[in-house]
Amino acid sequence: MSYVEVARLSPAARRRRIIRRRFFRRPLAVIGLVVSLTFVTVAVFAPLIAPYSYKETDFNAILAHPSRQHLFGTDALGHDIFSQVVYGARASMEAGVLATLLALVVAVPIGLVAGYYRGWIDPVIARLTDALLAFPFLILAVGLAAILGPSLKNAILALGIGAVPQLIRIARGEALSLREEDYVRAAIANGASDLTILRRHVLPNMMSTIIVQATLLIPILIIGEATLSFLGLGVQPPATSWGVQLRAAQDYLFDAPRLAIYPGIAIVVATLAFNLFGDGLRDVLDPRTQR
Amino acid sequence: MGGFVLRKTGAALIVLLIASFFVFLGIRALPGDPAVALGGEDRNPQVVAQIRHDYGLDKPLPVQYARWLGHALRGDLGEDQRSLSVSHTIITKLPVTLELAGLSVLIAILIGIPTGVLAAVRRGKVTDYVSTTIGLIGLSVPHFWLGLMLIIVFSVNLQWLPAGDYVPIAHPLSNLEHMILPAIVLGTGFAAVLMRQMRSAMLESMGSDYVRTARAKGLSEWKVVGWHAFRNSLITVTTVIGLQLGALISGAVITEQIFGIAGFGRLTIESVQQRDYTLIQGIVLVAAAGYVLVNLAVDILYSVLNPRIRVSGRPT
Amino acid sequence: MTAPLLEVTDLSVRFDTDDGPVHAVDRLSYTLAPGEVLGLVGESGCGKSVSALSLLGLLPPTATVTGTASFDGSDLLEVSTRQLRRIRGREISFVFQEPMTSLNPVFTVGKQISEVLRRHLDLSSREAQRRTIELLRLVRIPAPERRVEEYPHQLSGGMRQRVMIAMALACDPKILIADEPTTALDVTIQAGILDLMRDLRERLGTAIVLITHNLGVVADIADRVVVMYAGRKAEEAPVRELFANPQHPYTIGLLNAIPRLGEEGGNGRVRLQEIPGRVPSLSEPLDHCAFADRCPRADDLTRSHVPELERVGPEHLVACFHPGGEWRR
Repeated sequence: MSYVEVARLSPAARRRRIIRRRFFRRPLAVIGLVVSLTFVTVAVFAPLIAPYSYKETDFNAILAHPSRQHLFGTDALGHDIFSQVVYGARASMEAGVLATLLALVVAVPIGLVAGYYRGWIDPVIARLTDALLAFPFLILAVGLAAILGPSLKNAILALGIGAVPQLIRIARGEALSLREEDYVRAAIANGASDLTILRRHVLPNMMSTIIVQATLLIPILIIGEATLSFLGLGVQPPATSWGVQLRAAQDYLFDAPRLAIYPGIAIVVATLAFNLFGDGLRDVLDPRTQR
Repeated sequence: MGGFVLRKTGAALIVLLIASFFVFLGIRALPGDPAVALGGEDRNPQVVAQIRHDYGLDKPLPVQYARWLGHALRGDLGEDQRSLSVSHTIITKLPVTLELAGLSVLIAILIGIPTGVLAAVRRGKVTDYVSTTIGLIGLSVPHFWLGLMLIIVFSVNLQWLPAGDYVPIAHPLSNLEHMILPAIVLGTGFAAVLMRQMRSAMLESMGSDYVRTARAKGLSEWKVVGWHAFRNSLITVTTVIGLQLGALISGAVITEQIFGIAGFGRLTIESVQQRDYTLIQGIVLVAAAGYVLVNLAVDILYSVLNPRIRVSGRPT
Repeated sequence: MTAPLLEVTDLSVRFDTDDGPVHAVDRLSYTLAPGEVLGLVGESGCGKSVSALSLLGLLPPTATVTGTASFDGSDLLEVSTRQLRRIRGREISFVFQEPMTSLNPVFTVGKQISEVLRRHLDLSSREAQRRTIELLRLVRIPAPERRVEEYPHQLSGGMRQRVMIAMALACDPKILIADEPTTALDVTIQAGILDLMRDLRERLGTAIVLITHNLGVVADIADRVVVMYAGRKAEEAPVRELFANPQHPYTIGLLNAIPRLGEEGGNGRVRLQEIPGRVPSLSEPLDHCAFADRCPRADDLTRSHVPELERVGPEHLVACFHPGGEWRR
């Protein structure tokens, strides 16, 4: 774009261009983005990508080594490990993304209200959040999953709810500090309604922090789902996820470690990708880390 | 500083109280008759009635809560499905986990803090990229997978270290042998977080005005970084440590499961799998209490390190 | 004329930022005589602080510095970092603008001062303590024995600045560079600090480079003034001469902008004079007069050529194609 055209863009569009340009200058972040999208694509198109259905068993090839028919080999029941991993991506991506969205939808409004309005509602929300934060995240998730019963849906619920307290704290903190910004005070002084202020001034400025936190939450929840499934509290067989596969792999560590290696690598790579992406996003959106 | 400690302690106690209420409520929130849930699978109507009476389930909720809390404060967390004292079970298993946690924290500090400082000082250079990437990988590796991998490498293939069980500390060498792998597993994630936080805190303090002043005074780079910058970064990092300890407890749950260590973490899993709700209740309460107390300790440490909290300002 | 203590020649500083290069300083030259107070004046962003920081190598690594800065027989911009560290705090000291953030919050004030003493003068801890208390007394901080043990957040802004000055003077430097020493302070405190600086100059004979955007401060204690605009030197003159006979339109604009009490105009009030326009972006070294966009005397010549410094009086230099003119007193 020529300088003249750039000058004609709205300030918001210009800012987006700057952010985009800065982001793409960071190779690690771009790699993170690409790999994350790859995993999401694999999850969505799993039936098209996996050579075998995840339920398909071949009793002639049990614990087979990797071969041309079975890229990663087979497990104790004759499932093709490669297909398992591909289908496993579905549960993990679903859990990671949906649970994050759930947490966002619940936590951001609550945090916003607490931080912005203060008054009597803020101390109440703050104390409740602190109390919930007294439980380590996984213990909370495990507890909730135990109450709700084992299934992917409940695991997503448990993870999402478990992530809510931390997110409330962040949203509240943002709202609290944004409230003191001069432009917000100016808007109040000019008689703008609360809803307008929240919509036009507070929420958009919180967005970058919230987006970064959400992107960094996804890998945590992916691992969370894997953990819950590993403990038998999440996805139940014959449905599969990486955690379920690792649970089954425990018995065969000596004979066929590959049962544990492949799903594990998948988790590590997916998590790493989202982390790199989120990190890059944070570097780019937070002016303070510029030097 | 006394006022600060008092306030923080008070807040911690309130939080603990509310948390205990959540725990109490959680079990009551289960579908079905709590008497059946608490008493195990025995459907004998007489037994169930007895349980109902023992637990006071026929009384209103606040009264139940008060009774339960009263017992808990006196150290009585009830009996589990096998009629063993919950508190006793927890107390016997806790030291194992505490040792594991302690070792992990030690490993994490010894690895995480120096690497973080190094990465910040050599920012943008190879050392930084390598450390940061390794750190990110450390964050992305789920505990149980790392545990499984380490078992495969060290126990299966190399036969160096045992794959499970626990040997009491009375035999220190053997104890260490068994604890070292799980401690590394737990410590790695923590070290990764510590490294990132340290690096980010160091970058911030190294870019600050007072570091510029220190340089302008002609101090050696050692002093500027290792003394002026580091001391300030330590303060920021302390807050993080407190938050991370929660993750440590969670990680212990999985790690103990994998390595077959009969500690507090494994107890948690067993109780959940057996749906032993009294036990779960006691465990969650203790976990929350421990977490809150540790955070309180961290807050106090923070105030010691940060003069702005320790000494009140008196502008003239 | 005595040999200059500091001789800066063609100093240029370029920053490489995420959004492209910024030429913060463009061929700045000036000299500083022993015991002299030089005022470096200009608005925010004109490069005055950057030029000073570059002398002691205190700029971030994104900066590229060219030119020479001759001090005590060596070029400050060429010496090794080790040698530079021996000069910092000992021969040339810096007083920063924001005393709250420029002092380390976790160490006592006394510790931070004695640190310099022990580093450069190799004093024992007790001697350093003694000298620190002396220094605090020198900068007129009451009850110095008590203050030594206090932390920066326990002191008021004015006192913190005095501590910074004490820290800078600890080793009796030949040059003191003060970057906006009074800007972050209340007006009443400002006077006290300036008073102190004047007094110190008398007593210790330290040369001072006083960086400020406030002409009032300059009029108060400077001997000579260098006016900077957009990274370049616009005008230089002894202080009285500058105020009596400003030549550069920018200087004139600055002086006109100083509000005065009791002035009459058409309806009894006078509008504050402003200099219209904004400072030009510094992403390219300009090939014309930097002030052209805002100058009432701009014409084709100034918009296409860079004015060089010319002598318009004894010790009075201006970089302008159309210098001179009246200004309201």
